[in-house]
Amino acid sequence: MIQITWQGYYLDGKTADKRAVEIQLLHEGLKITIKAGAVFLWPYSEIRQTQGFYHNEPVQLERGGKIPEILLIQEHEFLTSLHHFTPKAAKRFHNPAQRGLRLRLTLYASAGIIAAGVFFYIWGIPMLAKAITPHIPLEWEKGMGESALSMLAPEEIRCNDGELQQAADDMVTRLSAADPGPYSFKVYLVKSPIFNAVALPGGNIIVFGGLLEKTQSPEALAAVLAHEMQHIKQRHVTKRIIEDSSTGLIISAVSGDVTGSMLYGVKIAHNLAMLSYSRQDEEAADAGGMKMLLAANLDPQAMINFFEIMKENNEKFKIPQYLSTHPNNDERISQLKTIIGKAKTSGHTYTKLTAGNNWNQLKKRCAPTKKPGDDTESTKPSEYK
Amino acid sequence: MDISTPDGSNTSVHESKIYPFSFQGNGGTLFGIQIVNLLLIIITLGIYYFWAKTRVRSYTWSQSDFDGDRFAYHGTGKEILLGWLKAFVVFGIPFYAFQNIPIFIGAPVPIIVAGSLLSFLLIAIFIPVATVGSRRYRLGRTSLRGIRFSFRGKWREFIKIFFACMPWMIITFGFYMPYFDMRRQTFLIENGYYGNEKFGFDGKGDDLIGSFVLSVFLVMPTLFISLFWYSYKKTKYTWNHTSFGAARFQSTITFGGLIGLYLVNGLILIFTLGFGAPWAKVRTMSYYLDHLTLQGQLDLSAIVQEAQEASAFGEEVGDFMAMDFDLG
Repeated sequence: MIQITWQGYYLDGKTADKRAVEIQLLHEGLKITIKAGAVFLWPYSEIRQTQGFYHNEPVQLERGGKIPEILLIQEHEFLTSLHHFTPKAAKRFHNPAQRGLRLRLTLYASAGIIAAGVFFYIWGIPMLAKAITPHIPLEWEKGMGESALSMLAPEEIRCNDGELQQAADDMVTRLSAADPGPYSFKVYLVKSPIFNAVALPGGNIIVFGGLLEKTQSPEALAAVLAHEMQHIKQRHVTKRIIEDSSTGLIISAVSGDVTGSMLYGVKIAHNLAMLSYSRQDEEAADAGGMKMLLAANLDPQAMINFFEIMKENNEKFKIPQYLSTHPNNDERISQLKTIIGKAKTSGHTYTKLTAGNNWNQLKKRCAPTKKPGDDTESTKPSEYK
Repeated sequence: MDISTPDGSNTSVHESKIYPFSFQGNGGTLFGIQIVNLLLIIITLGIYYFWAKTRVRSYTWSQSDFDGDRFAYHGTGKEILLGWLKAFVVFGIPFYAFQNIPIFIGAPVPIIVAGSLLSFLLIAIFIPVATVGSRRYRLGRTSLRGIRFSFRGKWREFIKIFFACMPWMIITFGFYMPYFDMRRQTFLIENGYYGNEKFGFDGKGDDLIGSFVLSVFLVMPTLFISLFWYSYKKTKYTWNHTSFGAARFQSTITFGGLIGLYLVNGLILIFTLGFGAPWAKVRTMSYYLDHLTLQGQLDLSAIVQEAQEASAFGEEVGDFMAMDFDLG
C-alpha cells in the first residue's frame, strides 16, 4: 500500500534545531511542510540518500552542496512507498525490498574469499615459488645449505673415514662430470640409524648411516646421490623453502605479526630434513638421476635394486622417512625401467666402482653405534623435529 | 527504537536533562560489510583498503546515536588514500632513507648513527602530527543533525606540548605521565567544536598521579593488569571531565565491566579464528556508548554551522599534515 503523507524532521544545515515536518510524495518531488507554515518542494533529482540503508537506521535525505539541508524519516516504509509511488524517480534511493541481495552478496563474498584462498594456496604459491626460484642467487642457496648442514650433521656425528669418504667423493665427481652445472657437490656421511638422505640447497648432501647400511653396492649409493643431486640441480629444495615460507608470510599477513613469519622461516631451515617434495619433483629427480647414472656409465640396475630395498623397508617400518613422501614405489620402478629400456643397454658393460670390492666392510665403518637396549630402529621422522 | 524527542517542534530544551548515547549496530551487518570489503581488497590487491575503511566508518558512525539522532561520516576513500600517500612521501621515504642509505653505501659508523637519530627524530615529529591530523580529519568529517564537528588545534602547538613535557618525563623517570596525558587531552579536547560551540576539559594530572603510581608498583604482582586498570581510570576520568557548553559528559563504565567485555571478546576472537571481530567491535562500541551520557543544559537551537571546510579556519593552504592516520 502506498502511503503518501509522512512525518519527519527537517534540518536546515545552519543550526542543529530539528523541526517536525509533514512530507508528501508528489510526482515531481517531495513536498515538505514545516509545522510553522513554510512549504517547499525537493525535486527527486536533487535529493541524495545518505543514511537508512540498514533496518534500524532512520532514513536521511540530503539536498544541496557542502552544507546540505536534511530530511529525517524514521520509518523505512517511506522508501518502500516511494518505490511503489514513482519507481523511476525512486531508483536513486535504497530499496528495502532488495535487502536480501545484501545477504546474498555477503555469502558470495565469503565463498569468493575462501575460493581465492584455496586457489592461492594450491596453485598460487607453487606458481609463485616456481617463478621466483630461478632468480635466487646461488650464494643464498649455499648460505641456507651451510646453516642447515650444521644443524642436521654436526661435526661430532660425522663419519670421518677417509676411504669411505673418498669413495663417495669419487662418485660425485664422476656423476658431476656426466652432467656439468654450476653446483659443487659435497657428501656428508653421518653416523645415525636414520634411513634417509637429504639434499641441501647449494650442493651439500647428507647420507645417514641407516641408509648407507642398506646399500648393496657402491653403485646403489651412487644412485641415491644422483637422485639427490638432481633435487639440488633442479632447485627443488629452494622451491619448497619458498613455498613453505610463503605460507608463513600469509600467516603473518593475516595475524599482522612479522616476527612470526621470520621465526617460521627459521624453523623451516632447521627442518629441511622434514621437507617433502611434490610428486612431480620426485619423478623429475628420478628421471634426471637415472640419466646421470647412464651418462656416468654406472649400472642403472643398482637404482632399481635399491628401490626394491626401499620398498621392503617401507613395508617393514610403519613410518619410513625417506619414502613416505615419495610417489608409489612400483610406479617409480616401472618408470625407471622405461628409461633404461629407451637407453638400449642390453649387452653394455658398465664401469665397476672399485669400492665394490670390499663394500660390505667399508660401509660398516659408518655404522651407527647402537646404545645398549636401544633396538628400536629410529626411523621415525619425529626424531628430526 | 528510541525516539527521545516526541515533540520535535521545539528541541531547544533549557532545563537540565540527561541525554543518552547508544550504539545500535549489529555484528552480522558489520560482518557482511567487512567480508565484502575483504574480497574487494583482495581483488584490487589492497587498493580498496581505503574505501573499505570509509564504508566501515560510515556504518559505525551512523549506528552511533545521541539522544535519538544518528552521527554521520562524510570522509571518502580518496581522501584517506591521499593522506597515506602524503604521509608516505613526507615521512615514510625519508625515514627509510635516513635509516638505510648510510648502511647501503657503507658510510662510516658516525653517519649511520646520525641517520638513525634523524629517523627517530622524524618519528617523534610524526606521532603528534598524525594525532592532530587524524583528529582534525575525523572530527571535520563527522556531523550530527547536519552540523559539522571540527578540530581547530595546530600540530605545532601539539609538538610544543611534547617537547615541553619530555624533560619532565626524563627527570621523573616517566612518573610525569599522568600530567603529560592530561596536557595532551586538554589540547585535543578543548580544540574540538560542534558547530560554533567548543568542548571543555578540566582534568588535572594531580587527580591521576596516585592511581598511576599505584598501578606502576603493582605491575608485577598483578601481571600487568594494573596498567589496564589505570587506562580504564584515565578513560573514565577524561570523559567525566569533558564538557560541552553547560553540559557535562558522564561515563559509567566499570573496571569489572571492561574486564568482562574484553574477556568475552577474546574468547569470540579465539573460537571464531578472528572472524568474530565484527561482533567484538560492536560489543566494545556498545559498551562504551551505552555507558555514556551528556548531562545538563543543552540548547541545540543555538548551535550554528561553522565548519564547512577545514580551510575555513585559516588552516594553512597546502598544510600537508591534514591527513588521516589511524594511531588508535
